[in-house]
Amino acid sequence: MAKIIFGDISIISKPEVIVFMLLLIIRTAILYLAVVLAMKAMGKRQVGQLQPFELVVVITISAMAAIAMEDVGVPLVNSIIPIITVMVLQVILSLINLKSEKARGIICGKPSIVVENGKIVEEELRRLRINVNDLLEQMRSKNYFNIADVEYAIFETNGQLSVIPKSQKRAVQPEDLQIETKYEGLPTTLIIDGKVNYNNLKKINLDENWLKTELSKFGINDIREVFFASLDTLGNLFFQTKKAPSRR
Amino acid sequence: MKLYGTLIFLVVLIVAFGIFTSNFLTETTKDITSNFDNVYTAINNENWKLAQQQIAHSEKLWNKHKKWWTVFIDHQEIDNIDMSFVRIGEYIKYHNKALSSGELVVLKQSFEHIPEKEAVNLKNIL
Repeated sequence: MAKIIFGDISIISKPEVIVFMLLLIIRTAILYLAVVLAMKAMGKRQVGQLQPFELVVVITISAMAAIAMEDVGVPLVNSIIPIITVMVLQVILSLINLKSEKARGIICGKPSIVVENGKIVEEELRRLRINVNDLLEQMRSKNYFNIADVEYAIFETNGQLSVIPKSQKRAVQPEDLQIETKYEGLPTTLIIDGKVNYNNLKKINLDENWLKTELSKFGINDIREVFFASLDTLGNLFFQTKKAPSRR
Repeated sequence: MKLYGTLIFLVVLIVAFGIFTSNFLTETTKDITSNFDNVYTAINNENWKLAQQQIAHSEKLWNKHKKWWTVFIDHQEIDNIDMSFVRIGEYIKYHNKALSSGELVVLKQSFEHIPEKEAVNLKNIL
């Protein structure tokens, strides 16, 4: 029972303080899980790549969770129901976005061309309320230090700047030099922390015996000694033991 | 298809939960306040024993439903009702007619305004 002494100072007995803290921890854990699930349902996006409507969801969800976390007087459902509602609305909105290009234009906006054929489009910059310094700063962050090197610059709907350099200023491609290149696909992870990924081995039509034979060629007789191993599309086996790296 | 199913399920769940909450609050309010008229009459007739019995009955009902109310209602509201029950109990105990009837009206209002606060109407939305 809480012990409250009337007067200037209210004193709560120690076990009550511990229970109150425990209550906060339990409520915070529940809300944390609710927010994590809601954010997971939103899809795979980094904060910097969020569309405006997605950013609104992130801000709203965090504010709603924070209120019920700090105020134990607010019932948990008062936060959880709005979080689920916002999540449902967000998923509906992204489905509409996916199906309709017209809706996409309204909800997400359209990319803005701010440099066209090597010339800054002043009207577009003014419309976006972005000054030239901001534009130059964004370009520098993309490794373009001279605006004369840029053919096109586009402000994407998520606020990122995409830059297309002038053809004379872009990096040389093997195609330019007419050099033939071999196919490079995704390396397949075979061992992580001493554990074999059998699904990946099966996908590339190999088995554990093959892996053991290959590793034994390098004096590794126990798979558990391997920290990481992968096989690239050219057939190179990369592995690193738990103590020292090695490469074939 | 699975996504649409999940969305529809969540929307139905939220709406059903809302309807259930609203009905639950209205019904339990009716249940708890059903004998408030008797308490009021008993206080006016200065039948303090009957008033005490009736308010004790209401308090018992309130304590029964309270644990579920905490799930839906701001805990401050629940504390206010608890305080009101304590006050009216003391006023009846000391046979104070004016304060008892005043507190009873406040208690009734505290109960009735909660389902009103949770109802879906333009006043609450705005």
